[in-house]
Amino acid sequence: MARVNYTKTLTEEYTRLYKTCTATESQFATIDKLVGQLLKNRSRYENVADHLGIPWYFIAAIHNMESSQNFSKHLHNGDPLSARTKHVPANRPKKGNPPFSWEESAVDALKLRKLHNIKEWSLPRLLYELEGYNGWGYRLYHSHVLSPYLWSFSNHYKSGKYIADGTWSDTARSRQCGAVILIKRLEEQGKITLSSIQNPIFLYSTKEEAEADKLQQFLNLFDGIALRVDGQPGESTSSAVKKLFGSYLKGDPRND
Amino acid sequence: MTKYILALTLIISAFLTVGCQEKLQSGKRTTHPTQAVEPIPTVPVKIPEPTVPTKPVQPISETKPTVNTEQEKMLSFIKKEGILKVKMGEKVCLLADDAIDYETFVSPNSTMIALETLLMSNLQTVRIYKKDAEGCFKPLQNKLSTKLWHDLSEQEGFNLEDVSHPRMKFLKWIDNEQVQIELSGEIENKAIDTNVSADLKLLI
Repeated sequence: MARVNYTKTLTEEYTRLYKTCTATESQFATIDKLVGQLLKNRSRYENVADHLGIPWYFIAAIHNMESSQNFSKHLHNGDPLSARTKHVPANRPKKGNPPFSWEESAVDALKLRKLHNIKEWSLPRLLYELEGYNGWGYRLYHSHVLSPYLWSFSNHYKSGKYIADGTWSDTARSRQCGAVILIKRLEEQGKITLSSIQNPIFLYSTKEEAEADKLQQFLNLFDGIALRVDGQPGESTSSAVKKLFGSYLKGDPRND
Repeated sequence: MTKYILALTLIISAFLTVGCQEKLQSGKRTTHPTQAVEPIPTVPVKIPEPTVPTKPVQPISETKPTVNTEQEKMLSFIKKEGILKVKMGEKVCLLADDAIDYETFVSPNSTMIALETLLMSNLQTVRIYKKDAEGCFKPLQNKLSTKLWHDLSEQEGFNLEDVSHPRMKFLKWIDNEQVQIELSGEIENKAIDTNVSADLKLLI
């Protein structure tokens, strides 16, 4: 499948969609029931999450989507834990012998997708990884429909999905609660806190860099600093940082 | 004073995360989930002798398998970032690039390939490819998945759109033109799980 890069545009889109997302009222009871079950098993998700550095609610949402929160199935694809997976990805986990515990299978599934390598789990990143976990088919080939894997049971999804034979139907409608709705409900209940802003990473650069304009705007709040807000964290911006904090931006040649 | 505390927090955060970014850059971290599928660079597949299918369960069809050259008998598959290619000697052909992951099953006479395709994490189909005149593998004109699911839905009286987590699993080549497939999924918490055989000649 073609690559979908994690871009600033995508980040903004995910944040906007999340902020404007409302759950379908007729599904409130179903959503609360699902979220209640996720919370009941929170410690099991946290055991895996802590091991891999992945938010527990990401794993919980995937678990709901892939195997309806059934702890006797592989997180990879819903195959039974009594044997290695038979569906794609087949013959997982490679290590150990069946029957597998849900936890060891989950660790294998998440590592297989290299999710343990992600260091930054902001809100948009979370949504990006959720959509990617399901596959980019909606975004790449049917962009008029937001993925039901994320948005089903919300104002952002009406109909349109892949059906059993792999073909597309504009009229078919997902009957499964979208992952974002579960996560949003967890946040509404005060069980989790999500940040829509990524940790700022500022390196010296003479080119335009993401979030550098915000740094410049921030620095301009201080007396004696007047920067052109051009998004280029170059010499002037770096000098302003030094003026306030005693050292230039990382990568500034004047540090040498 | 508040401004200075805010500023200090921001910059400390920036400096701390710079280190993280450098580590990530040095590790060449990728961001695309489809890259996360473990790459299997080149997997040679031994093609069994055409006249001796490994697990015959039905009589061999009337079409006799062609005798392949040694080169043709050895196919290998290149799978990377959701793209699958088949390599036959020096020739490389694209099989698919629209799914998360794939599993391949070559027919006894190596003229067809059954491709388990993980189209979405909750949707798996099987596609059939046949070797064309130019020696590349092309999908059959009619889809196996469409035929099998529609036949089953008619037979059992359900709507295809209502099936959740639909999966097709390739079970075996019955002969060079027949396959056995498992169809599974759920309709309103009721499981579907059935094995069917299909004559691929009908799809050509």
